Amino acid sequence: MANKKVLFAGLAMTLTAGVLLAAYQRLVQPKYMSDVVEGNLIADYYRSGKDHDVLFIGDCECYENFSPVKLWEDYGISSYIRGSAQQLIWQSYYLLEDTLRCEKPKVVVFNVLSMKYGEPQNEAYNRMSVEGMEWSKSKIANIKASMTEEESFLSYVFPVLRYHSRWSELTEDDFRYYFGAEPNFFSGYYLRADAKPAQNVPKGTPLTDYSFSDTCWDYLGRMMQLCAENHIQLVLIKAPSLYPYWYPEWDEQIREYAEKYQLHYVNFLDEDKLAATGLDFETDTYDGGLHLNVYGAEKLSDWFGQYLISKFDLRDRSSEPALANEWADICRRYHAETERQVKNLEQYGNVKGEADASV
Amino acid sequence: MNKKSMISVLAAAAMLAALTGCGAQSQPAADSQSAAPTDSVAPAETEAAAESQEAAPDDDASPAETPADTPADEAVQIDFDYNLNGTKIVVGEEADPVIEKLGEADATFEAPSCAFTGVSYFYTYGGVQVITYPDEHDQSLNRIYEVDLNNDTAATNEGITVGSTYEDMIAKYGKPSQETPAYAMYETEGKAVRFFLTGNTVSQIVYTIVIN
Repeated sequence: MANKKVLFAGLAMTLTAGVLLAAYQRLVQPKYMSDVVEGNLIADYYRSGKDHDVLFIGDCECYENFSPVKLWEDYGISSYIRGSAQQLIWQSYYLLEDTLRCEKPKVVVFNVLSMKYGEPQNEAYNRMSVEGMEWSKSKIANIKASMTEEESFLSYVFPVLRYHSRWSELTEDDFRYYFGAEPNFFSGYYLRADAKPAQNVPKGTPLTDYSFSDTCWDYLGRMMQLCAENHIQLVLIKAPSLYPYWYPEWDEQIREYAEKYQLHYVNFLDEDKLAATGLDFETDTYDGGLHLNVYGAEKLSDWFGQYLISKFDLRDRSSEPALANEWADICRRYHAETERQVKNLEQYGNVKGEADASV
Repeated sequence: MNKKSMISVLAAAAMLAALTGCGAQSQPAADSQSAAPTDSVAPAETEAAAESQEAAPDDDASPAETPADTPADEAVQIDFDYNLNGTKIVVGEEADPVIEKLGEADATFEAPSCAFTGVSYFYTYGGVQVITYPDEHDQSLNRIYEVDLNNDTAATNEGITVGSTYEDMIAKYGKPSQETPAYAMYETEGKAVRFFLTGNTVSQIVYTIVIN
C-alpha cells in the first residue's frame, strides 16, 4: 500500500513537472508577432484549407514576390507559398514532403536562389524554417539536415533548452499570443505596401567557383523525383529580385538542368520577362530591389497566372463554394491590410503606424 | 511526507531543472526573440556563402607560366589592408569610423537582412566599392566585408590595377596561395586579396575576409 502511494506521488510529481515545463516552454518560445513576423510563416500553413493547385516553395523571393490573392481573384487559382527567410533547398524539399502529407497540388514552383547554399548557414533562420513544422519524418529529417554545428537535435524536440534564457526578455507578446499567433499572412504571402526605389544596385563580386554544391543538386533531384512520383509539374523560377545578385554562370547551370530534365524554368530577371510583367523598380519594390511590394507582387502574379493557365491543367475554381468561402476571408484580410498600410504611410510615413516609425 | 516520497519530489525537481537547461547546456550565441544568431544579407547571404563552397585550388591551372625573373619563391610582403585616399581599410574591422573618414560616397546601396534588423551597406568611391556587413552578435555594429577595385582608376598598395597583366601581378605579389585560369588569390589569416583574370589581364581586384 505504501509502495503504491509512493509510486502515485512520484507519477503525480513527474506529471506536474512535465505540465509546468511544457507551460514554461510555450511561454519562452518566440511568438514572432510584433517583430520578425516571418517566424510564423511555416506554422501558418496548417491553418489553411490545404486545398491548393499551385504550391510555391522557397525563400523570401517567394513569400514577398508573389500574391496568391491576385492568382485567386484573377484566375481562380488556389495557391499557397511555403516559404521562410533564407529557406535552404533541403528545407524546401522537406516542406514539400510535409505538404504532400496534407494535399497534392498540381504544380510546384521552386525559386532557385537557394541553390547557392550548400551547407547549413544560420541557426536563427533554421529555427524559423523548421520549428513551425508539425512533427513528422520530414521535420526530423529537416532538422538533421539543417542544424549548424552548434545546434542540437534535442533543442528542437524541447525548444525550452534553447529558449529558457528568454525568461528575462519576455514581452507583452509572449503572454498575449501564448495560445497562438494571429494570422499575419495571406496564403503564405508577406504583404508590404510601401515603396523604395531600386538605385545603385551592385553587381556581384566575381566568385572563385560558380558551381552549385552536390548537396543542392541532390535535393533538386529529389524534389524533381518527388514531384514526378506524385504527378506534379515542377516549375523552376528565379524571382525578379535585383539583389542578391544572380550570376549568369548560375543561371546557365539551372537552364542546362531544366533542359536536361525537361523542366519549366522562368528567370524573371530576363529582360523580356521583366518587360512582360511590367515591373517598375521605381515603384514596385519596398526595399530598393530586394523584394517587391504588393503592387509589384500583383503585377508579377498577373503575368504568372497567365503563364500557369497556359502551360498546365489548371481551371478556375472560384465557383467552388467551400474554396470561395475560404478565399473570401483571405482576400478580405489582404485588402484590409493593404488599406491599413496605405493609411499608415499617408499618416505616419511608415506601414506599421506611429508606434514604429523606423519601418 | 515520508522519505520515499521526498525522493520522488526531488527526482522530479531535478528532471525539471535538467530539462530547462540550468547549467550544462551550451548555448548558441545571442538570444532574444529571434533565437538570435542573426544573419546578414550581404556577405552571409550572398558571396561569402557561395565562396564557402569554393573548389580546391588547382595548382596546375595557372593562366601563364610564372616568369623566370619573378620573385615567386621569395617571401613577398603583401599588404592585405587597402589604402583609399589616406584611409586604411581593414577587412573584418569596424566599418563606421572608416566610412566616416572616407567622406561622402558617390553612390550607396543598402541590403537589409531578411527578417532581421542588420543591414549590409555598399559604398562606391570612384572605382572602389566598400561593402560592410552587420556583426553576427551585434547587428548594429557594421564591419568591413570587402573592398572591390573595379577599374583602372584604383590601384592596390603594390600598384596593381584592373588592366595590369598576370606577370605584373606575379612580379609584385609572388606566387599566389591559390590560382586557376580565372583568379589568383593571396591569403593570410582571415584576409585575402583576389585578382580575377580575363585571359592574361586583371579584370577585378577584391580585398575580402576569409570564412573558413
